[in-house]
Amino acid sequence: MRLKFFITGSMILSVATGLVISTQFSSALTSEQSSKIDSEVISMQTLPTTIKAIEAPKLADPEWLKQQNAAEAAAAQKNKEPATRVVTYDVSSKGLITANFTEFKTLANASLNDARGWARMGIVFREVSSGGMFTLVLSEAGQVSSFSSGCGVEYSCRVGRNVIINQDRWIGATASWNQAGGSLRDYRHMVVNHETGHWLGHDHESCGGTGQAAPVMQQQSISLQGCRFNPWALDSELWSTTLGIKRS
Amino acid sequence: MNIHKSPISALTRAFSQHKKALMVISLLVLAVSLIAYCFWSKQAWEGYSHSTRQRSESARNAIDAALALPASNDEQRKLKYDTVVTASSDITKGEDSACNLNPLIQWQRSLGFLNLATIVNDCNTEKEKLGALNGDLKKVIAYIGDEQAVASLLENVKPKSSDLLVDSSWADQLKLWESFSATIGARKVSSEFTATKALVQERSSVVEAAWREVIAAHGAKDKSRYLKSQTALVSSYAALNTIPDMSNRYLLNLISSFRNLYGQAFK
Repeated sequence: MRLKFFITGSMILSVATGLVISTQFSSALTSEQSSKIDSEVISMQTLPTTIKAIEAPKLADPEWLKQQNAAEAAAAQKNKEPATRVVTYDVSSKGLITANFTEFKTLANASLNDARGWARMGIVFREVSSGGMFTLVLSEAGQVSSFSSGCGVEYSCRVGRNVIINQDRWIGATASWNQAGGSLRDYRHMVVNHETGHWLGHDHESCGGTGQAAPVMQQQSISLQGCRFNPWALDSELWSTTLGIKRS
Repeated sequence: MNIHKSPISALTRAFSQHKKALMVISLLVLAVSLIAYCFWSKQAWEGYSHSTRQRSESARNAIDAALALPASNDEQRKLKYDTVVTASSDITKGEDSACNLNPLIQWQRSLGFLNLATIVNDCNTEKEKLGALNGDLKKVIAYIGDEQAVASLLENVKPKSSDLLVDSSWADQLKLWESFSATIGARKVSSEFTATKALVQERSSVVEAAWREVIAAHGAKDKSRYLKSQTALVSSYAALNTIPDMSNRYLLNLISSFRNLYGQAFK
């Protein structure tokens, strides 16, 4: 009897000490733990990154399309070309003229009607014997100031409807122009276009930035201000208050 | 008279003479054996209980370690994925016999007053939780595996450079997409990925159709049709972005379920 009690007691004692009772806690994860698991799993994804990198390839225009586009552009350009407007001018001289006057007239007309110049506004300069919209004058240097006190003997000038070209400048350009390596022909283009520009309604312009082409209305005879010399009106200069042509 | 004594009678006489001593010895041997059995049983139950905890801790450590691996590039992502797969398969190792009791202590479960059945029930509960958790982890793994397979196939249709594609290469682009669609269509995926796969197929068929129209419009030299087809092509590629949106939603659902079971298993 005592033995049975002893055995049972031992078993109870020994087995009971081996029992492990699990303590129950809440099973919910904190939002931080949840986010951590989410991001750790999502980091294994490759599909979103791959698809994001797939963009529609850019297609090179096929040859037929290029041709069609070119044809359409040409047609559009043709339609866009403004109706030609004729600007008449007469030519005269003042003082003692030593330069070739016929050449002056020819070159001046070529400058005015050059496709790189004011002609881009859709105007044609036509020389007439008299009664032109303005008078192009080749003037002896000393006579330039006779047109206005605002004009000097040094440079060309424009007074009212008179577009006056200083003969000395016509023959030899200016020191600064020549030093900058400009050609005499370009200077002649420039001076005719510049003074005619005043008649068209333009004031002086400044260089837009170092290395840029100078506006034709910049006083390039005096200084290029870091610009490259340029005898032709810039796109931004293609307007005329005199002719009622607005900036495009 | 010489009386011959048999061994049995001698033993009987000796037993009679030392009856008390023999009883004491027998009882002692029995008592020692019982005590030894009790101690061994104690150890066995402790071991059983410990292995339940151990299994749970090992599973948690394996999952946590695998998930904590960095995945900032393709190589790391692959390594991480493989490690998670291994962790998942390790969890299920020996699962069938996990809560089996040693036959020598099995009878003790019926000793209600010792409450030993609780230990066994705890083990079975842990086993079920781990099984459920691993089931969800396997779903997540399978889903990501399917995603990775699709991503890998998409690499083939991804433009190789940002250069303009000349018309002579457009047919090749169409072929790549046709091949992609065929491969995706033939690929077996997990049930959780089925809807995403269907969307991938639908979107890729739209890209295919857009390429066909570009090529047809080009062939017809029809400018307006061609320009329209170009726009449709760009849209078809842009529409691919709905795939990760949808796929993320499905994956997050799977992760959410996995997360809940993780919380329950590793409280």
